[in-house]
Amino acid sequence: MPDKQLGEKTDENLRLVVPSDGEMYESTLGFLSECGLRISRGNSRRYVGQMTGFDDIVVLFQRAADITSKVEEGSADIGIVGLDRFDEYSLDDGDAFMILDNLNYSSCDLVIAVPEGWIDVTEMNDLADLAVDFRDKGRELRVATKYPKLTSKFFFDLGIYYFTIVQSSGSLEAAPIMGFADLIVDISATGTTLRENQLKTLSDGTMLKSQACLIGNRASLGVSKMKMDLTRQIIERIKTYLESNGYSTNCLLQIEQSE
Amino acid sequence: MKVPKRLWGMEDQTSMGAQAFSRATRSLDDLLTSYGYNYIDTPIMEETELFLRKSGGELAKRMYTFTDPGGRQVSLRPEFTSSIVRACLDGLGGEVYPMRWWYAGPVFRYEMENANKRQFTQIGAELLGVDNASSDAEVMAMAVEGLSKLGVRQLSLVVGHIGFILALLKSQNISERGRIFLINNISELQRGASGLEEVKKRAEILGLSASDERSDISPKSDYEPDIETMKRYLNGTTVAERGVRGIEEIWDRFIRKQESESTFEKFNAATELLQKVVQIKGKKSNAINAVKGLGIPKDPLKVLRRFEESFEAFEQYELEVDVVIDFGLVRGVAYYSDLIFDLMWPNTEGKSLGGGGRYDGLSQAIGGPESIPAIGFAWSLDDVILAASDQTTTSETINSKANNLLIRPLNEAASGCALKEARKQRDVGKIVSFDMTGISLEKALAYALSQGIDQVLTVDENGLVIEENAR
Repeated sequence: MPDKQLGEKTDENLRLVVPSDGEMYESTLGFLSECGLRISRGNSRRYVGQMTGFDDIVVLFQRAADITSKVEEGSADIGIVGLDRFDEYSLDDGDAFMILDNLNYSSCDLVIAVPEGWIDVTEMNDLADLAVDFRDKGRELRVATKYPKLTSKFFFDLGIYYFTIVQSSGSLEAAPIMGFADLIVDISATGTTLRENQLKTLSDGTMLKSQACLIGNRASLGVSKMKMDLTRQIIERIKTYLESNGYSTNCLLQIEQSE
Repeated sequence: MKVPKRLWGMEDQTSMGAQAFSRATRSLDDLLTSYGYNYIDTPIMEETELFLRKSGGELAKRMYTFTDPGGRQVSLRPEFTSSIVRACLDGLGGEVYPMRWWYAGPVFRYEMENANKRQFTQIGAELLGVDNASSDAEVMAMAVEGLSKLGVRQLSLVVGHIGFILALLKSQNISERGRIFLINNISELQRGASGLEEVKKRAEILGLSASDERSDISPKSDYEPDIETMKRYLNGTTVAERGVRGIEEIWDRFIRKQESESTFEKFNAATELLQKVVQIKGKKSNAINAVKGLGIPKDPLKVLRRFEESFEAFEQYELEVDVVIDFGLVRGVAYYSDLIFDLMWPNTEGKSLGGGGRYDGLSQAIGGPESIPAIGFAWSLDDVILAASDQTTTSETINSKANNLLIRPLNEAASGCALKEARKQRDVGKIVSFDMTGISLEKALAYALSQGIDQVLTVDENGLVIEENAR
């Protein structure tokens, strides 16, 4: 197939962005192909690919952390991303919105983990108490996370105000041992990595249950019937696959066509 | 290409709107200046940390925070007070107290309700270095007088006292966290019986007051190791397993936690007492007597006496305002530690035109070596303009060549006369600092010199004025 000007911002193509790194790369390609949406990518260094049988769809590969903002800014029309990243990076009055909230793969929890030796800390209330304690001693409770927005909101909602966020993109599990944070907020699929790093979770410290989901840009889909039709076809295939496997997902696609 | 939209809560201002704005600003500025306050302009942006240390609480989630190009976490100011205290700790003002500052400018808060502005203008003042009834009174008096000068009618000054509430809870042996919880739930308690039940229930869920029944449902001994085992385990942990906390620290809190489980009765008794207190609202003596009637222990009673003194000092200003004491008035506990007040106007639907309070602990929270007593207030200019009936200000404009005066009462009995003299001098355009520290004439002259004040006026109880030149 001859290369079009792929990835170019045009009304002729529907641009779908998928993760290019991490666990979600493989699993997303696998999932889409199960749905009959096979993606071909010339080689692993190329950031643009195609979807077999859909000449009008351009597939973009981006870091999982960047997908929400690509859809938010409209450089992609739809995308597949973890719910955790969507909640963290979407704007509260932005154009990105949820289309299918549960694709039933890449499940993980966003959890709070503290050093195992903190026998006095078993639930969030203990953390609230500890934050006040720290402050009285002139210290600050430091939380290392890649999710500053979700973490702050969760803490604030529980009335925990005295803490600082240490933003870090490396392996967070080592932060308490290395001493640059007191506790961490990170995703955990099985809890193994946490245990290996002598960390424990709290009984009510799960901030979010996350999984892969399909998101879209309200504005760019709203102005193109072609893009909307293609998006509907993709949704149909995904839903058919999920339902035939006994899963259910909520479709939240409701866009007023402006034409 | 679409035009980027104006952000919610931010407004374009043209000269038409700006006229009312600048008229009001000038009048308020003049008033603060006439009380001997100096203007200070602090940066619009500061390290996020500065504001977090102060408010921790409520304000934190509404700040505009981002990373600057150099990688620092910075925030647009949500208020001025922290910046001013920071500036004083930096040495601004030469550490000569009392220190008086006033300020004006935009502040930024990410309000969740769309009707609210996210950028708005505050004008306010801070009085640092004095902790007595006269300083409380001066700040409340300025807050009221500024609005009267703008023709705001039917103003009421609603005053509460967090320090009293805190002292009361402390006297009931409630943990720090329990105290914070209860203060955060005062509005619920004010709702009456159903609110009380709700608060008790929440406290139980939060583990602040564990009831006996609850421990029956989950008998600890069945699956939790006993104290000795826990101690052996903790002693065997390595630094990697504990992070920054020491063994002793963890153990202390662990024990404290076990013990606090038995405070059900105590906690509920305190909650009930607090509920009675926070429902009291009314004229000065009525409200204070009603609280005293509840049988208040010694320490909180001491706080209450000082509260009364502040009112007596305020009454000497003879301002026309409806004063209401509201023991349920609270604002983020994080930094107000004492007297707080709101300026209420009937037509703003519960929104105040401004407010203030004492925050003696702030300088230390920010990292200063000692606590500097301080009290301040701010008007919220956008709301003040709506309430100002008198759009043409008639007040005497301050003459830049006017004498600066320091007026000191000769003794306590003279303070009423001294305040009258201060009012008289301000009305003719003079800048008057009022001495509330009771220092000797010699010291007053030295203070005057350090502040660029020309004359010290000593007033006795008969209103007799003696002038001394400071330079």
